Amino acid sequence: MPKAIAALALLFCSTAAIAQVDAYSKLSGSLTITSENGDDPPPGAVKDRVGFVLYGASAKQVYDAMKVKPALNVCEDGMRIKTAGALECSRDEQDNYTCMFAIMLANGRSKPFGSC
Amino acid sequence: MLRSQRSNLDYPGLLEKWLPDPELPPAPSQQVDPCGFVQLPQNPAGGGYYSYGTPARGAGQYGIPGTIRLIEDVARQRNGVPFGVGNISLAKGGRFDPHKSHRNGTDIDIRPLRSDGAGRPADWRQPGYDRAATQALIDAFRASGQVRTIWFNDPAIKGVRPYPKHNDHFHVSVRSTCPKR
Repeated sequence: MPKAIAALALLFCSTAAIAQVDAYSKLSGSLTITSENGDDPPPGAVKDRVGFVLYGASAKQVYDAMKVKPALNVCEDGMRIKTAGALECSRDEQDNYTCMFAIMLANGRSKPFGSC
Repeated sequence: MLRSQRSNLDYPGLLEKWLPDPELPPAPSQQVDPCGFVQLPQNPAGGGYYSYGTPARGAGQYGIPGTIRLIEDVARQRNGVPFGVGNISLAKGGRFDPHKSHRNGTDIDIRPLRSDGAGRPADWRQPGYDRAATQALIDAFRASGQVRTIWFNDPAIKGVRPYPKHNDHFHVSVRSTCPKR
């Protein structure tokens, strides 16, 4: 009997340990090396940042994990946005998820990336 | 006049003569799908506007016909220097990174005008920005009655609303009843 209890305890501990291991998944998204306004850079603009766009399951995973409350986005009807510093994740009316942020190449600091 | 019309309508065969033949395809002007995407004509001579932005060759300048017509109409009505048209939508619509909108062929990015009239970038916080000419251009879009909102951050410009990163372009959101993409 004590052996059975010990075995059960061991099983419980290992299951709990497995549950706490981070799960990794493949990213769906794209990146670009860009400047502050990559759409219309003024002469001499420096490509000083990497802009990331996550979409699909990757973006949903991040959106769902963000604790901040979503706010209605005024530039696209029905779109809800969660913002935490430079990280911005959105969910549109068709349940498409997107996350955007940029990282400065010189110092690794984050910057907002998306535009309206 | 009314009597004359009545008389004509009563004339046997005359009415049929003027009615469109149901076997014939509709006139080209009636064939345009009001929600189908068309590309903005690229830098037409004397068109009153020019194209800029990425992706190249106007690949991000597709819109519903009403949007394209609005640009052409405003360009035709003005007598000023040509204005720069940037991103609208991709050929099939949908996500257009890094935009949140620009999915449905109803959003237009437009450069503010410069005091030197050059077709180059301009920013309302920088020298070379022509506020009066930009206000007149924005007024022309608003006068069409087809504009939902214009996003632009110059606080001295009337008829616009601020939104982050709208310093070097204003964003015209056009009214539409077309389905979303």
